[in-house]
Amino acid sequence: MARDSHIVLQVKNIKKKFQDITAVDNLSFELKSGEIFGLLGPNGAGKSTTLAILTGLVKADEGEVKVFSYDLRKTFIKAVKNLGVLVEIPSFYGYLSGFENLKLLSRVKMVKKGEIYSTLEKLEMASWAKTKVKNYSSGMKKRLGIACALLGNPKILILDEPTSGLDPKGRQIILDLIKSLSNNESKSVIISSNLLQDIEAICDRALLIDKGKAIFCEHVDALLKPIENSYTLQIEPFNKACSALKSFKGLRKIVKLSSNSVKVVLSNSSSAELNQYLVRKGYKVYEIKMSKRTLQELFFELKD
Amino acid sequence: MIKRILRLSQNEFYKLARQKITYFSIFFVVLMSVLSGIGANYLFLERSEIGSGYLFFLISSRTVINMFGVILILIFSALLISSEVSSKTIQSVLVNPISRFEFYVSKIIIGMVFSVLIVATILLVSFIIAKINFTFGDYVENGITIYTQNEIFMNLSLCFLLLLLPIFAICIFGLLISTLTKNIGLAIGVSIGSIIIFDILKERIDISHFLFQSYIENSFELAQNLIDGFKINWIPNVINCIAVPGIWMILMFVTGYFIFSRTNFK
Repeated sequence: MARDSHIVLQVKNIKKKFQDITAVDNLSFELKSGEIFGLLGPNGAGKSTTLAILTGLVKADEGEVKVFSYDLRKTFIKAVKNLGVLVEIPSFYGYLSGFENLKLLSRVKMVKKGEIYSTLEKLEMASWAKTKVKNYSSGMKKRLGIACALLGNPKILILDEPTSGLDPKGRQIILDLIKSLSNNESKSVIISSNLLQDIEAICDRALLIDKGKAIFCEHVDALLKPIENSYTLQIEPFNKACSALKSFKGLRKIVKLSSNSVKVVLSNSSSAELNQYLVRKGYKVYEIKMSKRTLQELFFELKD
Repeated sequence: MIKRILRLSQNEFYKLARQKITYFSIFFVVLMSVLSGIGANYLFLERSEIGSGYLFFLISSRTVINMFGVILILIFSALLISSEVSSKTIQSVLVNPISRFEFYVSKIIIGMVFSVLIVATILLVSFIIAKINFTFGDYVENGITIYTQNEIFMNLSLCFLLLLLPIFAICIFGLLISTLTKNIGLAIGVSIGSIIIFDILKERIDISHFLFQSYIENSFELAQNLIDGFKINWIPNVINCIAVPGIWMILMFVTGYFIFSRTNFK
């Protein structure tokens, strides 16, 4: 959780066009000390371009990025010294081992050898240190990428889709690590993802972007608050119960989710009334719970 | 800034030492130099003739540098940026506290080191074969010593130092193409192809004096004149050998860096 409101990174009105396509359109946000800030959006929303601008890989056409008080454009090296970056698809020299790749980086970051070992241990990669990177799985490469970001103990981490392509266990390890880095080492983190669950799991605040534009920037709790009057039901016999639901007078919308669950949006009736109605008709109701938004729903709702 | 360039260059040395292309290139030029030595056994009937060593040394090194050395240097330098871009390792490097200028300069340094390594290997192997099979000595005409052996080697060393300038220009040309194309195959093809086209065109439209690669031949011609006993007028030759490749090197470096510094790596 964010510990204070000290701003460590400030993005002001950045714009980037690639030929005729506007990838980032007048985007502004701030990262506070110790905060985990999520960049959320569908594929092609402009998340990676935004992060590439923050790390200097892409030059913004307009706008300003400040890391602490350093302007990224004017004092690049001083600004970037505070950043640890994981690019979307981390790439390494395949003919070198994980340790050797980190050693090259440690020279650039002026980091001692001992820190390489401790970073590898932190990511449970010590046993893979001497293996050539060309033999790593994509999950291992992702972890090595995070090790690169952590090397030199930067104050801010910029992680572009750190969980993409990982199995559930690998994903959980990474999310736990990010959370502990923020909680225990006061690191400020910007993480991009197209998975709402990732953002929900670890972020304090999130910025939702689409077509390079900010749609919503708020605390995650606000982003994920249950949709009013929307419920997910598990009912049996499913098809007959669904037909019966259609004649429930308080119903506004019905969407089948699976072979035994359905989502309903009610106009002014309560879940108790709905339950009563179904039971009275002789259907079994196993569960009624308030629905959470899917990313898609969130987009449509916020864009409207 | 210099410290960071040195650190980046150190990384480039490490990669150079761990890459197969380095050892393949050295093995290849050694093999070609040895083969030219074997071939020369049939050409030089009088091995014991004084000065045959210089002649073999020049012919062998000139042939291997012109035919294979330049191509290998072009391939290596054309890979310097394009391989990092195509494998996306450039992203992992440039997000660190280094400037693009420092990165670009470190690439030039390693390209030059590789060039020196290739040229030095060719010269060394050619010299060893010449030393084993042929004879060196003073250049004497009508009983008068025109050049002593030491003078010849001193002057040859100067010729080979001058040779390094157009070789470095070749390396920076490869790096420029590497910056422009980003694709490994295309970078190699374009750099070798354009050097061949320039070579064809230079005689036809009489532009050889303005092209940096012409000065590779120029250095060898100076060396040839030397072992033939001619007095060499060094000053205009040195000025030309420095000025033309030097101007090209500056132009290509500035253009390459200008493009590189404005490229989006995403």
